[in-house]
Amino acid sequence: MDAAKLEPGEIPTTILHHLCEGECQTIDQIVNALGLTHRQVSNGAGKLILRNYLERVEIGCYQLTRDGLTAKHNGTVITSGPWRPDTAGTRKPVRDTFRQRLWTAMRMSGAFTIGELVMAASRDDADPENHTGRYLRYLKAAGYVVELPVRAKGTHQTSNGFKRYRLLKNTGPTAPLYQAKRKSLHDYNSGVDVPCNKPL
Amino acid sequence: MKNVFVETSNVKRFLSALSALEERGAQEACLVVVDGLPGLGKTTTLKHWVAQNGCIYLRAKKEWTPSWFMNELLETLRVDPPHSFQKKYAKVLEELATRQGMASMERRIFGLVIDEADHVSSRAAILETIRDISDMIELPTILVGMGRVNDNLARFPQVASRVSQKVRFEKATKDDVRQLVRSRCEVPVADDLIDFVLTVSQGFNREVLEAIANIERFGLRSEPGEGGVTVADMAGLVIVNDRRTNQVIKVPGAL
Repeated sequence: MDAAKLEPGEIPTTILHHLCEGECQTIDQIVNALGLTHRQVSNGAGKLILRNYLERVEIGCYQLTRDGLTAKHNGTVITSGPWRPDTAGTRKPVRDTFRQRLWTAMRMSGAFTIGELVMAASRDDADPENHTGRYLRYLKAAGYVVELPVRAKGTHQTSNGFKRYRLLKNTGPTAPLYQAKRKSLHDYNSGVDVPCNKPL
Repeated sequence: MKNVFVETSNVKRFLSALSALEERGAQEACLVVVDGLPGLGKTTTLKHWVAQNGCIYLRAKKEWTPSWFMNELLETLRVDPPHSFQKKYAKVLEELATRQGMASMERRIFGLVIDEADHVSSRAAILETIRDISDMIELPTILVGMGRVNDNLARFPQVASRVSQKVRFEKATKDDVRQLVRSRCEVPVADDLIDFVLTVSQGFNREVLEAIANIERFGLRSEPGEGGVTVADMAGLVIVNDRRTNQVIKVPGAL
């Protein structure tokens, strides 16, 4: 089969629906029957084994499991998406990121504007003002940062000035991490997830 | 105003002092004193350096005691402070040494910055504690003050001898002001106005930035000539507030 024309998951799906109940087939048999290469069969079988649909009876000889038979009867189509629930915990904090540098600068400052933070924390980051604004909105929604009533004066003719902020919850040295999926801010310092679902 | 950190001559001297600290002869001499009048860019420089290097930053309090200092340091290091001073000291050393080791593996400088050090520079107990910590693990410790730190330390020779580098933040030179204006101002500025900014600001960065904001406000509303905004363009307009008299300073008609 021409690999360029295959959809992700097409080979494991083909193998799943090719094998029959109680039948153990070798790689060669599957290669001959489906017109695949050895490598394609081996990789496809690997994906089925991950999902517990296939078992290797001996080297190069495959048989459907009970789950595999059920999947075959249900007409399951293997896709490239996740094959089990994402139960991973929170990522480990990364030390030298732009947001970490922003957080450090915030902890050292009293009131601050986006520009002041960018000046302290930016290195060669792309669009640092936009990035800083977004991070501050997450922190504000989670109650870590408060927007001050008086803005810093701008210089452009139509400028509304620059918002000024103050860090209210200085919980520790590690920058809180925004988790888009959970709509929360994970604070490594206190170990808690703070909901962050107010309109941003 | 552009959000750019400008490396003025003061910043360069600060960075070279830190480089010199790494190549020092006496290993126990790892204190750096950064001194200078308010408004010369000390805090901005330190904030940039700490944010970029992930160092420990503490702001000294007037009533600091060694125990309060240790508690704050341990909280910054994310460690629950033990009850006895002895255990606090051991814990601080352990934590700082671990972080210093990690920083050296990542080939970055790690240090302890104590801002507003004037508050503690005449207090023997705090200075001795800082010296002990700094000596034990050869930790670069930067004391930032507003002009009195060096003089006060002279009373404590055992601490003063540990000061390997002294960085005095000086008033901005003409090149510094030109660099600040060129890097941060969104409109071009002519040389005569830069000279005037240097004169009225008396070399204080804070006033230079105030002048840049006023020039920018004017330049963005009018169409400056090819050479940029000149003194004549801004004649009669406010450029900066005098910090001593709190009176506004206006640009004269012609120089």
